[in-house]
Amino acid sequence: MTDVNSITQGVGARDLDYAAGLRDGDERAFELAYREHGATVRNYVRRFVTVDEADDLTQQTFLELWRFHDRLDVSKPVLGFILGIARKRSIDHLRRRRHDVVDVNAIRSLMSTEGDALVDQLVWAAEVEHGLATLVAEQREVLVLAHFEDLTQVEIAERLGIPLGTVKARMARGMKKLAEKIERGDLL
Amino acid sequence: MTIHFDEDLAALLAGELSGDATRCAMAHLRHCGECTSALIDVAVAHGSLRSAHRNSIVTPSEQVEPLGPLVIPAPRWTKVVTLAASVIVVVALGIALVSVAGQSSSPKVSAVASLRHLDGPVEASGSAVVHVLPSALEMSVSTRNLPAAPPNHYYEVWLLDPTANKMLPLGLLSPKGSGTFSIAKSLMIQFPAVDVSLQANNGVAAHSNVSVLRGDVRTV
Repeated sequence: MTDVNSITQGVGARDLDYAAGLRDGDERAFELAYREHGATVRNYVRRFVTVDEADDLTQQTFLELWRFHDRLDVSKPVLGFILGIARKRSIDHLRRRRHDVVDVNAIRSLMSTEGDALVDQLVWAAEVEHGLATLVAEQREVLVLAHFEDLTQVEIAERLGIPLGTVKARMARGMKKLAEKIERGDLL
Repeated sequence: MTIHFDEDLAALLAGELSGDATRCAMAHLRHCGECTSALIDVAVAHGSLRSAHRNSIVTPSEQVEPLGPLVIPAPRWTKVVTLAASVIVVVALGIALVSVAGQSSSPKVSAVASLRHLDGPVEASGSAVVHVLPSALEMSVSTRNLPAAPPNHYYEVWLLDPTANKMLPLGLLSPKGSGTFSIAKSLMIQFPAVDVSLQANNGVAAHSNVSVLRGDVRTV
């Protein structure tokens, strides 16, 4: 079962707070980026390579982020930039596997427009989770239980020990707030 | 008084309403601009949260399998100093090589390591220089004041991951205490240190746990 707190705590840092530091070569921002997005990068590359290779590619990705930090566009999500690097490194890695069997589907999903879409989806998911993390705790809690643990409103009321009407109200307010953030482009 | 459905829209999208309640909500939404507007918000939030869940960055397996430590490259000023020192070394080596052998300039240096004694004699030391070749990296290890290996023993060079305590053998040092080894580029990230061990010639390929020299590799 997914821990509610693990989701919201995992998106605590906000890109804009450290993107400029990252671009300017601030080591703390670099460490924050690794803490914030390291698991995402590993999850992403793990779709194409083995576990050990994924760890290696994750390190390579952040090493390259460090080397080319001045190319970061701070007006865009940092994760998109990082996943772009991870994608290139994954392609290079699979191309070098001359003697191994290379998964054709992995190559296709990396190099085609499908690869672009996957990166976009991961970036969007991270943005939504950022937005979710900024909601007040009561609203965030019911939304996470409903959408990340697939509980019904009745089950949420039982889990939290609150009336069903309170769950409905918190959920309605939370979704409205989230939609407003999405519309304003204010998720980060 | 009109009864709005705005607080039931989430349940409607999640499929948690009964048939009657669903039909009732539908009939109401046909004529209620306020609830239709609210439905747009709920639909957008619902779809976005579904997407976030489907592509969630945090999975149970990731929670129990933490990421390894991040290898942070040396700060810029260190790089500059190291680069300057490396340039001097490379230039000096280049001049020496050209003057002695008439060869062309040295390949680019990508990393260096200063090797210090561990279990070996205090006066022993050494260095490792990683050169960039077209197809791979090449590490040249040289030692100073390292006594000749005892009978039926030899010195072996290893790449080391100090965090995971993993080691990868590179090869043997020559009787003169030096050696050159070809390395895949990815290994230099995975194994950020160099170790020289004293090995018994007993057919055991594993590290002897007698490390005479060791040093961290620094990129330049």
